[in-house]
Amino acid sequence: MNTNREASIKAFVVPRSMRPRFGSIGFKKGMLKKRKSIRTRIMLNSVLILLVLALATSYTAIAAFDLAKSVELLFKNSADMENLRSTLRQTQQSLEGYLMAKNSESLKDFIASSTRLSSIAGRLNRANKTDDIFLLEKNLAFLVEDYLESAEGAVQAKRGRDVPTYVALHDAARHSAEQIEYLSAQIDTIQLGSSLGAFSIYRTNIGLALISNLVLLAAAFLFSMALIARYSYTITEPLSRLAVAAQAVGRGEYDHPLPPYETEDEIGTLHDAFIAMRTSVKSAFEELTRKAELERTLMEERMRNLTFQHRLKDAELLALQTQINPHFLYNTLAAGWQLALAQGDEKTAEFLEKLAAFIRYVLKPSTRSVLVSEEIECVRQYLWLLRLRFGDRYRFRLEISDEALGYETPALLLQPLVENAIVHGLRDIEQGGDVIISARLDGGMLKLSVSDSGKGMQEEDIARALAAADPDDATPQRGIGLHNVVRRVALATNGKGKVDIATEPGHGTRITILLPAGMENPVQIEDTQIENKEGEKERDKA
Amino acid sequence: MNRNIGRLVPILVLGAALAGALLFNFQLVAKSRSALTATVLRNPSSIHTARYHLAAIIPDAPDPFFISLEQGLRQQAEARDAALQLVRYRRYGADAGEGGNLSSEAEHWLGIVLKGKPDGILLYLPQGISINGGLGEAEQRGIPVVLISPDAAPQGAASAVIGDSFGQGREAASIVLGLLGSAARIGVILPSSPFSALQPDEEPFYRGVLEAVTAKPGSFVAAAVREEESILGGEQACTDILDAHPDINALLCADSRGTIGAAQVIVDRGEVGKVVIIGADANAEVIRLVEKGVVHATIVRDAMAMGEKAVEAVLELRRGLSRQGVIKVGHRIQPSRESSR
Repeated sequence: MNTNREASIKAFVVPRSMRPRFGSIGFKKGMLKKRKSIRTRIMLNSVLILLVLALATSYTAIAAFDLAKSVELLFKNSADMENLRSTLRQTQQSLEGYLMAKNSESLKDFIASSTRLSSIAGRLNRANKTDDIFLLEKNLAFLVEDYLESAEGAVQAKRGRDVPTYVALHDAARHSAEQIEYLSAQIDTIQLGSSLGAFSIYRTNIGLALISNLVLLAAAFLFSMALIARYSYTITEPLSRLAVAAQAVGRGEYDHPLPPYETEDEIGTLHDAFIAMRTSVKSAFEELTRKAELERTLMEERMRNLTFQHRLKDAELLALQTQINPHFLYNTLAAGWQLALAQGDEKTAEFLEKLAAFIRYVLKPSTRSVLVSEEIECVRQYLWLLRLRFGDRYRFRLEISDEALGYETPALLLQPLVENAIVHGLRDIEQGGDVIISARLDGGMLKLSVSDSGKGMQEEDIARALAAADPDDATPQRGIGLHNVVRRVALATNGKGKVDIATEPGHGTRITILLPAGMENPVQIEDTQIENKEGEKERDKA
Repeated sequence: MNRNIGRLVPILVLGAALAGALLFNFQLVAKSRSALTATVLRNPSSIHTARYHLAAIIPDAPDPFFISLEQGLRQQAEARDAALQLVRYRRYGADAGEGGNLSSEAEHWLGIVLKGKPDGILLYLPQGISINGGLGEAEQRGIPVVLISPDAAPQGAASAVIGDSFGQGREAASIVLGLLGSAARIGVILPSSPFSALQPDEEPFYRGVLEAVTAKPGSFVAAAVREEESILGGEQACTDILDAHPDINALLCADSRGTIGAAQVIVDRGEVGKVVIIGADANAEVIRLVEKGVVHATIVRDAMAMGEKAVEAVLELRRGLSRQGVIKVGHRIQPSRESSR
């Protein structure tokens, strides 16, 4: 039971050579390992598009932030310059106030504003930067320094009541203040001009950038749509092909063409699995078909064996019958012959003697081979009996070539034909008829023939009789004599001998047996028959 | 296979469009940002701090001479690790150097940069303009000053880089005389000047022309006109001189504006080849006219070399290595194809 189960399992296992791609795609260890799966690709593409949009948006946002920062810085710079100018004016005003009135309030104001101015100037660039604005700032810083130096000098000179000095320093401070006003205004103008230029470039480019953003959005949308369409096709097309192939498998078309799917993704796995499954199913189906065919052949063989056994049983039965009856009949005839001799009836004794001899010949196995002379002797005895029965109604003639007598022939070929000639050919003819038996050699063939002048044979009867030459012939026979002869000739000569039947309705029939001259073991005698034959010899001796 | 490629085409095209739009977007935004970061949002720490601070005060004129001069100044300043503060003043106007002094704007800037404690000052002084107390104050503050002039060195300049207008005029006249010989009837177009009192014979260029013409008997200078200070000053001057002297067969120009204006007038009058034009300096338009043969040749003042030498000189002075004195920079002749053949 287990052996059968294992065999059936083996029949369904696809050989490794028939599933070439399973190993390569890692069917066993992690079917969806690091491969280009559709899900991953869709996610990557989506992330890519989102990344592109995010980058574009972020970069534009950074630019907008820069713009805001620039505007703020521009205002701050402008405010710083305005603060510087305003502080300068306050300083100048308090300086002049102090120089004119020399009051402590003005001095305090001067000190406060000059300190603020110094602080503002301290935040200005003093390095040799390779930039025009920064270099102007440097000029401004030193100008403020120069101004404060003159202004403070004027205050000190005022305190020292040094009129010429503080007048001169006041003039110098006023001149520096004018230069500071001029330079700071110039810086404002230059900064504003360069900023406006930058803003103009910004506005032009950012306007185009917004348009390009729209183009980017449109391109991203269309790209997404194209990708969606692509992936829809990628997923559904191979699936629909698989579905068609699966339907074909359902119809039993295991060789339905399925285009290869090269991509290593989920569909590829499904595709490979389907092909493997189809191969398995196909192998299993072929295995089942082969087994069914084998079983059918086996059944036919078994039926043939049964038929043979059946025939063998019949043959055995017949053999048993033929073993019993001949002995009984022969012994009876022998008893009759002895009785006739005892009573002095020689005619009856001769009759019984010939009949017994004939029957002994006839009752021997028909599958044996005999000499033509023995066969002719049997025919002579049969003809003697026929003449005793029918008198001169039928005329028999033997045309025997001496050279044919020494050849072997299957036994009992001529007697059944003679009997047929009388029984079927001449019996209904009132005036009787002629029967000619001949035996001769003709071109290396032994030719035995029986011809009569009877009514002839029907074509279908001839065909039915000659069909017996085929070993598989099972045509039902009305009379077994001719059929038996034809079959035995075929069997004894292995198909080399044959029987010809020539007939003419109303004019007779000629049956000719052609045997290869000098047959070796023309008849296969079974052991049982040999034993019977030995027993008969013993009985003959007795 | 082909169907598969056909399906891929729209994806590839749209993908390329996406990438292209992204790059274009980046480029535009980057331009916008760089416009801001180069001006308002510039970071002081990212700006190079040079070893020296030089202030150059030059006229604000779209003349190829000044463009080349500025180029020379900038190149040499960068090469010498100097931050160049370029201050431009209006050359002409109500107060533009009338009376032979530097314009008040230039004076103003000079006063400012002197107080800005630079390592050196480069000052362009046109012909006939003098400088007031600026040089003395500079000396007092220990700031070296190099003057740049197209002609002779200004009076009192310790160090100056000058051009050779005299030689330029003489060269231009020599070319014409070589072509026309004693039949030369020469008209001279002089550059505009803020100093209206300046006479033609005070111009070195004109004097150079006269010297060459004197050496060729029979030839003569028919007239000399000065350009008006306007874009079409050259055309106007040329028209005036040709109308007044129709026999003129050669025009000598002292600057590029006069050259371009004269060439336009000659082309309009259909007198190309009849009137020989000798131009000055070289910008794209002058070179085009020279190549077309409208202008026979142009005498290019090497303003870039003047700028470079001025920077070198002021830095040498700053380091106290030497007193450069007057450095003279020459010119070169760019002939037309025909004349070069």
